[in-house]
Amino acid sequence: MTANEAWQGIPAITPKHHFLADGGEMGEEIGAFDWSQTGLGPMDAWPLSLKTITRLVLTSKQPMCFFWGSDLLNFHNDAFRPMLGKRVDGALGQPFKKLWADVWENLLPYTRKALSGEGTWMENLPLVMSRNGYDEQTYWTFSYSPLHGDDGGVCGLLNIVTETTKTVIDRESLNAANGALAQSIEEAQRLIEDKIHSEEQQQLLQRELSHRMKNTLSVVQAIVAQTMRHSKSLAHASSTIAGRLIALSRAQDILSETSWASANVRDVVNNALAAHMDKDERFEISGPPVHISAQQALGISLAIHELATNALKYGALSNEGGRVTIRWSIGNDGAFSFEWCESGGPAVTDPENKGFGSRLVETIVASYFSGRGHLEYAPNGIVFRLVGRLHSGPEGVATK
Amino acid sequence: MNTLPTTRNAVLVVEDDPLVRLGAVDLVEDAGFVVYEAENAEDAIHMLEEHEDIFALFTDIEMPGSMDGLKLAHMVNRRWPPVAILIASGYLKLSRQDLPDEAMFFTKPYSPATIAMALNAVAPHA
Repeated sequence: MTANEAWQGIPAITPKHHFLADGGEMGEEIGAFDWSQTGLGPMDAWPLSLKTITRLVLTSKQPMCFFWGSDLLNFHNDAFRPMLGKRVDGALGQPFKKLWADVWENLLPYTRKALSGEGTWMENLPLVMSRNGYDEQTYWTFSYSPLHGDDGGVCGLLNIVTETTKTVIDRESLNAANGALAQSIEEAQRLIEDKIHSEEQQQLLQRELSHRMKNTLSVVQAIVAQTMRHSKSLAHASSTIAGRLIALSRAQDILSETSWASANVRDVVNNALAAHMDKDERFEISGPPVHISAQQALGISLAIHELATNALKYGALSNEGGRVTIRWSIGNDGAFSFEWCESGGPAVTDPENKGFGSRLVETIVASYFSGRGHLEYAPNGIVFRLVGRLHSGPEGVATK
Repeated sequence: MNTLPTTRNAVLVVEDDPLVRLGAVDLVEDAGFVVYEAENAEDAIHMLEEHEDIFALFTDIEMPGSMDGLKLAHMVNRRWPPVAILIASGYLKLSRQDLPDEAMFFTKPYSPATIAMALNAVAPHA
């Protein structure tokens, strides 16, 4: 298409040739205005350039206004009217500085630039204005262009404008909503992660508990099997098993209190003796505060149970005047010594065959300490000595 | 020097709990085998290096020291392929891929009769 086609069928001279023709409401208002009282003088005497720009602005659907003359008097088209708010009545012919007094200072640099012959284009310029009687945050995308008079000098400026207040505020609230949403999502993710973590912890705990239970049952199985193996009768086995399991159970009580980490030797000893202590004065217990592992606590408990059970039947706890001294210590080399010493009981004789009880005391309990145990059937009373280490090293005992 | 061919009729029991180890040792003896015992993987390896008559490893999984029963089982499988491997643990969640091929798994506590049967099945017959 050539430029000529755009003109096809359009008469060379418009029938309505007055410059306010088709100018809308503002065209009528401009026509009715008494311009003779202003610096512009009566409309008939206006320069062609002013009439031309007036016609251009009035016939445009794009919001526009312009300011003309030394007082920069305001002209605007119908499309611009909403931007004036409550100022719309009486806005025509007002000096720029008076009409837009609230934003005059903000716009002055752009105004001066246009009056100097140079245009401006701004996007979303924020302006606080009171066009509706209250302070209002507004945003504007606009251009300021110089307007030239018939002699070529700058006589005013043209403002082609779109108010973007709603767009900007919508976008800002959208951004804020997005930010809040992102924060909520982040928080939700953290909560989910926390939940997963705590469930994993729970599962781990359950597994550990189940494992501990199975290990304990394995120990119980070993105690039952060994006791059955070395018992003379079922009745004897039954009561011995019951006693040993009770000792095991009491030791577990102490370990539960310390979450199976470690136990104090004195607590373990007192706890194990509680079932056998008819009179406190029979026992003399002494030793420094020493922490032993869970397995070692079980071992010491079982050993004390065996020694005390035997002492009740044949030893120092079987008569009125017998006594038991229990001592433990830590040597300079870190070795742990434990001693059970009976006195005042009936005369001791070496048993004909050693049962599981003595094997438990001498070998098994000592294994928990990677050490040696020795049961001496001294005539004055049974003496048990254990020497070992508190922490089992890499080279344990391995014997056939 | 002339050495007699070794009769392989021994089982190596690896278990850190002395009471449970005693039970395991008894069941192996009752089944008619020679038994060696160790309380950790390092000792177990020494035992295998010293005793050529071991035909089966019967090990716990959780043990103190740098190597647990599973690692021990894999190592034995590599270094002593003819040695049969029996593993026992209180942990149930163990997948087949964790174990060496041919290894047998038993949950704790185990039945002595079941272990004895398994040992008899893998024992070399003279």
